[in-house]
Amino acid sequence: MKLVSDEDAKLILEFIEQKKAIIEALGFKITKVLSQARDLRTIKKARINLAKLK
Amino acid sequence: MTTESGTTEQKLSPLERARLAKAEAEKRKSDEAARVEAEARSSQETVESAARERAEQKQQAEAKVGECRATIDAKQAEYDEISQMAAEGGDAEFVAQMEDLKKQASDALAEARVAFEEAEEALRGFSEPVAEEAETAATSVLGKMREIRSKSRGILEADEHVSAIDGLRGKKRTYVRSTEALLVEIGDNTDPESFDKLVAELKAEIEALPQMVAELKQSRETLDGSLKDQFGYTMVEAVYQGKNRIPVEKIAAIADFLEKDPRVAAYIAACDRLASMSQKKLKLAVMEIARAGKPPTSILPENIHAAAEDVLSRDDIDTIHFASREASDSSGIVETILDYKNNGLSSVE
Repeated sequence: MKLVSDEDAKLILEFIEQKKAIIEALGFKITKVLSQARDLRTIKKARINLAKLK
Repeated sequence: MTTESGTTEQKLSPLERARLAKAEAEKRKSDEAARVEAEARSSQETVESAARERAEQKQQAEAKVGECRATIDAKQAEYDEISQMAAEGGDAEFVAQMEDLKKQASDALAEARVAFEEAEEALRGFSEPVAEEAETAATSVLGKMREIRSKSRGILEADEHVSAIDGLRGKKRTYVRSTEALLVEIGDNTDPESFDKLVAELKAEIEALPQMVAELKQSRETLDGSLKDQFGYTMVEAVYQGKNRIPVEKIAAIADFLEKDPRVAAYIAACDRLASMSQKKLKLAVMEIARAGKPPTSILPENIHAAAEDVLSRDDIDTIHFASREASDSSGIVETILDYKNNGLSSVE
């Protein structure tokens, strides 16, 4: 049995940090998509309400 | 010592020489034992120190993976909300757009999950001291990580470019959607009178735009001049050059100035107004293009869409970016300096 080396430990940390950055970037994209979906639904409802008024 | 002189040694009896040799051998043995023990102690201390350091690194890694897990959970909830909205249904166009958004979110979530699994896999490298039989596999994984690391910097840079492009596309999509809202606002079969009235209102509002830009630049120069006179640094210099050079007390003084001087809040508010006015300017450009040369009876929705695309292909879009960036940068700069003051310089390392 032996301990993971300092170099490898730092490498693992760096790797995890990179994956975290990628996950956050993708998460940001999902939030933007959600915002677009909400806008789309708002427009749909506005169109329906406008049709009712005519 | 008897060995220093052959004469003295020669005077010792065989029994005395034997005793002397034995004593010397025992001393050498004792010295060697002490040396080995010291080495073992030192080695043990090194191992214990390394173990403590690994434990700390493992904790850091676990915390990062925990944050990744929380992000994934939150994004799953956002994806669920998109799915729910898509399931509500609507006309064919709405359903198609929603399905497209749902797919975008689903792809991003799947990609994030893969990245999370890779992070979890990497975390396992800490969890147990490496067993001999697992060492070969671990070496192989670490070799792969090294390879990935050499490539990943380029990948991350590419990601940043993609994010920037996505941001730009997002602004464009938002603007095209705002033309949709415009259609709703004035009705699908646009009454030319309403349309012209809106154009006139927008024109009146944006007449102030050049003046606002000039005032904004003047405000920034005045603020920076005051800061430079009092503290020796402009706002940007305080943030980007000050980290290693400006004493903490001076940062605190600059932060006090920014908190108390009403011109700072007024400047940031002016940046926001400019961003809003720039949107109106674009909206007006779209409406004028949609109106020009069209039959006076109606403004067709497709004309507005075409006009939006036309405007977006021009330099006008830069006006929005300039104003939004200026507003965001100014707020960011002030927040960063306040953060220096409140949390110390380490908070922005």
